Amino acid sequence: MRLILHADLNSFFASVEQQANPYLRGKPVGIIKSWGRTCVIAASNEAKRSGVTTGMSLAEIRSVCPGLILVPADFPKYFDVTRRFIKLCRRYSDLVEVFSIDEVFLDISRTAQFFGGPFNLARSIQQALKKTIGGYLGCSIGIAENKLLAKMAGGTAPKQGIALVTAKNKAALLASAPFTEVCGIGYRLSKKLAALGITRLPQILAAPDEVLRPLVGPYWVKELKRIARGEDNSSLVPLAFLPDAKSVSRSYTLFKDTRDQAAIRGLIRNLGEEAAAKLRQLGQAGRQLGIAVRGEHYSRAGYITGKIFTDDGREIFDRVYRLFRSWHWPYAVRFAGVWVSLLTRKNYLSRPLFPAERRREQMIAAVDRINAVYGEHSVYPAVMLNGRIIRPEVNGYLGDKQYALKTSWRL
Amino acid sequence: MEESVSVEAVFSCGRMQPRRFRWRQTVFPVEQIYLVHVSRRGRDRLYHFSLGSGRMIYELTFNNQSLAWRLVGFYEADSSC
Repeated sequence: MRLILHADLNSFFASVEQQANPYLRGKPVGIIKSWGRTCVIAASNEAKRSGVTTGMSLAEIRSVCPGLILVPADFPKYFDVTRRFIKLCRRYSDLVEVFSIDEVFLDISRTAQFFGGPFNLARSIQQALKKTIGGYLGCSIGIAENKLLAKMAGGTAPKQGIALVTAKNKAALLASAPFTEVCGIGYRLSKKLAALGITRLPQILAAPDEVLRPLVGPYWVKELKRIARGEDNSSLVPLAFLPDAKSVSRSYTLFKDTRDQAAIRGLIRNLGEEAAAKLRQLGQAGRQLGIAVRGEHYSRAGYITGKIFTDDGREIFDRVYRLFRSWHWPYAVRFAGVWVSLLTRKNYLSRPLFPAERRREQMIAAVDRINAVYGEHSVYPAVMLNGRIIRPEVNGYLGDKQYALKTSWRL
Repeated sequence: MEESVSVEAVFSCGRMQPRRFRWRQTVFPVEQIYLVHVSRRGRDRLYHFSLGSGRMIYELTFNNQSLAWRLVGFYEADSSC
């Protein structure tokens, strides 16, 4: 029988900070992106018990948890702990999927027997985590016949607990799991279902297809029924079998609105350079280039699709900036994002034909080699001068997962 | 902050553990190491040690290319970061 284990590191960012600094233990801790940011991106168990939730603004937090201790995020630290956790998990199975920065799936169908069964294997992972990485870290574990149920069980298990889904308790789990713990039912879908009074999986099963179809469409009717039955035959995708990235992107929120055109230009170039560098590290190029901006409560996004693939930061910038200029954006800019999609592998493409193109390719490769030795953006375009250099970072959602996992763990 | 420090460390069983360090003419014994993590800056690998000495928590880094130790932060009991 198939046995899938889902491990979820508890209050991950905050727990890592509390591990590193024992004076934070037992106290409400809120992680912010950096000093000057006004939104909490993660919270400790103590803070959550006081009512702090991810995404809360500091103004809101003052009323629910005035004693909250703010800590700026240290993503390289969290990512390294994740890397070590993955390495630990590989002692228990050769099939490990990194689902997010704090969640992994293991296929223990063939290995559970070597550890005294699935429950003992799970307990062993929890103990090894404390012993080898940090005694203050913990993880909740769910074990079931498929990924969907394992994640659901892990989400409803107590902190540092283990939940094993059997034929006897499966129905109870499906009946009680809130949609927040069901992979595949996101916020928008939950809202649509709530409009019909549907808040639990058995209600989805009981609802006639004709009632659901106008709301969610024919595809999602079938998907929801499948999810409601707890069915999932998806395989684990270990790191070595990660498919090629479908897109790369980088976005950034400034600390304050700006109308300074030079600063906006530098920001967009910076984001384009990072997207391009990611493409080159992945050995891919793209031909659909997009940009999104937001400011003064207005937002706009758009893209252009070309026939020529590119991994050149200047080309990406030229096209997306031209698109941005064509909008005659009258507002300040607070946020910008650049993405590249419709990707293909670079080695599928023909080599540049003209000397100028080849020289440019060689120059970019030389810059990449310098940055590989001295750090990202050691050499950067002049348009980014006088501005704050935005450096690549791993985020909590492991955006650009292929890039984060394939290139960042070359330690 | 980033200040140069002198460190005595033990290399054993594939691990490196600082035992004490000198900062501004004072020697601090390392009483406990709470977390070790690794980051990269180009080809440089930085080993970060979050460790305790007395009532203070210190963060030291070791650069595997330059072999330099740096003090990059310290925290007092009952203070936020």
